[in-house]
Amino acid sequence: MNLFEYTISELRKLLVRKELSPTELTEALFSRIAEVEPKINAYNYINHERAIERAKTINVDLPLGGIPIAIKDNINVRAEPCRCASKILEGYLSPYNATVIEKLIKAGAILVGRTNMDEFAMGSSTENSATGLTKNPWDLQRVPGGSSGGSAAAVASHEAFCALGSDTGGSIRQPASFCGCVGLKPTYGRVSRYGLTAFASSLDQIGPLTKTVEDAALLLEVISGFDPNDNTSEKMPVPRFSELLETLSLKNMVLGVPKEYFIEGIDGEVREAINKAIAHFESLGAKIEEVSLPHTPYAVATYYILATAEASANLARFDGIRYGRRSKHYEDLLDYYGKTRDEGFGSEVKRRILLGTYVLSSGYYDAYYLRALKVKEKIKQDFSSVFKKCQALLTPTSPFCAFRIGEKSNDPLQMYLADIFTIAVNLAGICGLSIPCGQSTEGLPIGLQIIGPAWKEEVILALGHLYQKSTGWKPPIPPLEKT
Amino acid sequence: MEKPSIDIQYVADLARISLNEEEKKMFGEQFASILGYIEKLKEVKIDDVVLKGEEEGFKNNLREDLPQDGLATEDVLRNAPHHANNLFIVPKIIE
Amino acid sequence: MEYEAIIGLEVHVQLKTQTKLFCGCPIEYGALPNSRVCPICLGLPGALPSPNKQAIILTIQTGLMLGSEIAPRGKFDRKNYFYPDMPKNYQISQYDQPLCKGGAVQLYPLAFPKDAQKDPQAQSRKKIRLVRIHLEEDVGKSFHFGDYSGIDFNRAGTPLMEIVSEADIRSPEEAFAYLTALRQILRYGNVSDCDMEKGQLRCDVNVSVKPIGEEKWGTKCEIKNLNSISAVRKALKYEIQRQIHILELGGEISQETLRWDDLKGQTFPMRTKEYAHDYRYFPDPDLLTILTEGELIEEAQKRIPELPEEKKQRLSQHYGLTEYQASVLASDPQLADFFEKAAAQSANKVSVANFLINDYLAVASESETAIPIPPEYFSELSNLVDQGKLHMKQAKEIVKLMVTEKKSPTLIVQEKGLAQITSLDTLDAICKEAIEANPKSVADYRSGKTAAINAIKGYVMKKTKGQANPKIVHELLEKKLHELG
Repeated sequence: MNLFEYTISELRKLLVRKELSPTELTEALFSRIAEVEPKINAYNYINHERAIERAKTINVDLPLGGIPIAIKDNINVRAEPCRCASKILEGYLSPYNATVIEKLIKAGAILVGRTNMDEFAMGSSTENSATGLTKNPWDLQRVPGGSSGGSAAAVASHEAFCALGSDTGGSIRQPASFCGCVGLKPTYGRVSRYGLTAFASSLDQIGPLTKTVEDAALLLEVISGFDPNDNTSEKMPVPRFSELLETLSLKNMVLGVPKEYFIEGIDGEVREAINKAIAHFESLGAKIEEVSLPHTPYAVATYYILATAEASANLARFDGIRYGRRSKHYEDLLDYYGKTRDEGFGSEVKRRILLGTYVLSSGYYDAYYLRALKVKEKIKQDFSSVFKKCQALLTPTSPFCAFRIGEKSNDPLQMYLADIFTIAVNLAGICGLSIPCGQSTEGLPIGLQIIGPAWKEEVILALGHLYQKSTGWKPPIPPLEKT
Repeated sequence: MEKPSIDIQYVADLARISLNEEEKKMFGEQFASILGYIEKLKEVKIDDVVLKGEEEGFKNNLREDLPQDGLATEDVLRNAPHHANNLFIVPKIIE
Repeated sequence: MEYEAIIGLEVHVQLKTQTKLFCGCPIEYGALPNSRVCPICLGLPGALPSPNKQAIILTIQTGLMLGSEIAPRGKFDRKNYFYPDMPKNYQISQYDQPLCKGGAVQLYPLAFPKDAQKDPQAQSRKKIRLVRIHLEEDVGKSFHFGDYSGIDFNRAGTPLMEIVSEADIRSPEEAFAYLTALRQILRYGNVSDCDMEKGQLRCDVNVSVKPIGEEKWGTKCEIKNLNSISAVRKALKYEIQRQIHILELGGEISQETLRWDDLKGQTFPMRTKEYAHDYRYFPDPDLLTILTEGELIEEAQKRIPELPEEKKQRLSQHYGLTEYQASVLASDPQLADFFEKAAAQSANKVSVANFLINDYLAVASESETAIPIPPEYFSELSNLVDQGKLHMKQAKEIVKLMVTEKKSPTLIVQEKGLAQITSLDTLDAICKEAIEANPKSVADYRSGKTAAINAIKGYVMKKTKGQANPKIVHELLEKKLHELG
């Protein structure tokens, strides 16, 4: 077995027993990156020198001691660029570390590079990137999903052992599903957002993308926790997720299957794979019950009002004055702002900023934003009711498998509707895990989403781990060919 | 359902993004479609929703008024596209 | 036609906290540009606000001191607009759930400008009602050079309390009094130093005029760039006249934002800031709401000192001072404190008050915030006079010397040999000499011109370099003159 195929859990054992050195491991990863990157283009930035320097002296007894990790390009790392895949942040070098980065460093992880994404996390395909196109490792003519497409593609093609992504409407789970790896969105407030370039403040969360659920549990443990620098992070104790993976009994467990997530329009093979996974849980002893989340049809509309409104304000700071790229020719101050931002932002970002500005503008606040806040409450209540009788829900992560590059980029509304199964989880502030549960006949990964109540990541992790263990899951190596 | 019209120029001005005519047309069309879709929110009964502040047992999360280290000026200015005399330089502001 | 003015004031006060409102950067006036900044107050990607407990407490305290209603839950909102001095191009402020609502500022005679203190409007004890008090962050500072401008973000993020008054003010003098009274309370509460020169208190005024008796209010104009309380008075005086003049000529007032030019003594229209202000307020999703009940209100309450009215009463009653004296001493809490320390060590409290008010304050510079000498000096001085070692005129001179030379009165008396001469023998001899030296004055006195004694007295005072006790001299001279028959 090649070194690059291992999981974190396997590597930790080798490192602690000194059967493997961090330097050897890191070099092995960089070799894999060199081999695979030209095809995948998952990374925007790689710092070989810094990683090796750190690997030389790292203490392997730390929780993630010696483990290389890739970081999504919207999380601030001191002295590294933080492009967010945008032109407008050209040249920006971050002078500070995000809280999650501080935690990773303290836990002994080795930062190897930054992964590609949709610009400012706005998108579901990583096609909206000003820094290059990332390919799906399972079919190089297809998208890896988004917005954490680079992280998912890197993990799936084993040019990263694990990665951090961010999830606002599905941006960790959907690419995990498209690329065939594991992705988790924690409960809102579980992981500090300090240092994550904000897209929608009330929905964003940082989370792990890994090869196995076991790895995701370990990574989540390290990055979670209350942060005084993030007023929205919660003072909830962080369970030892990695130790709770096998403490779940399915005997009295009720797993809900929301009927609104099994509508017309889901790809036939996806539906089949999900049904198979549900049946598998049933065979292991869980009770399956059909439930209803009646406000599901309103989730996408609600999301696009709230997220774009918050984003329009969060992205106002990008004006080329204190950092980033500014326009070279302008007549006056107004023209300066207008050109700098027009030149610096891509189309999707502009679209969302404009939409968000509109819904907040004079006369429309009540009709759009305030109304959306209330519908969000209803969606949250839907989940609360359902979780009174179930411990978790099973749904597809995405209605379809990875689509072709360019296929959906002309119809923004179509692209938005692709997020239909992941979005409500962000709106309700609860947790969601996507795990691979099959492949289409074309060899494209299919993702199963396990949704849990707020603060119950250990439940969805245990369920996901159980699935992987009982199906003999082994992270596959994609052939990396065009089909 | 009637599609709401949107003054793209007004919105673009508020957002400080200079759009060309092509972009204005494209966004205008896309918005009509998106906003048409968003209209469906009107179907939801919301009068019974009270947006409460926070949950039971809410506690403030406030910072003590103690000085903390900030950034060194050279780190601050390093990213500035244009700076002089320790100030960020911008096109003339007329008051 | 008689017109009246309708005036409302919006005051921004820099709170006296150690750090900024949403980050731990220290607040320091005059620091090198961009040396007191961090990712948060610079608006770097990924930075998040962290609210300053003390700033919230000080705002609640101000509301309590001014009789406002404290909101059970305060909320921060984003006010969205673009400007180079704005690190995030939105300002975190409060929109529909400010920390304080209502309240009032009590006007009092001494709050009015000196030349208007005897006017009826100064005696009215009017209360100017407040609309609200809320908390927001300050923006950076811009400097203008030729073709470009430079921004310093040290000030960005400083906590500002915005105090909005109802349009209850009716004259430039009332506006002056409002600001003086407000500043007094804020200084009392140790909430802000309110030094307008340092920008710690900024004021915008809204003013309109209407014919007396007319119900409908006129179109109002906003005046900005007022750098002192007297500038506010001057600007209002000018603007009211300007508006009346236009109306008298049959014209209309256009709603404008004006800037006050102190040098020219006129208001000028400001270039309108691009588009109509659509601030798109919405609750800041990065910040929790603030629960004021419990710890915050309790802490705020503990901080409330004896307020000016109470202090005035107490000083008057306890020390036997007149209302005027008590008012003057209470005008500044540090001054009142100083007086009480000085009075504690002196037998004659009223005389200490007099020295402070009539001799020290009368000549002290208005901009000096603290008295440069210890209170004990005044106690000593008062005691020296009481003990007969100095007379009043000498004492008054010594006050000046105390300040310029920073020496105690005892030391000054010693060094300058100023001890009062009270010895009857010594004075007797000099009086005798004075009478002999001023035959004309003596003759005048004896012929009924009693004022002539002053010339003879003057001779004695000159001879003794002012050290003779004037009262004793007067008595001795009178006695001698009568003895002459």
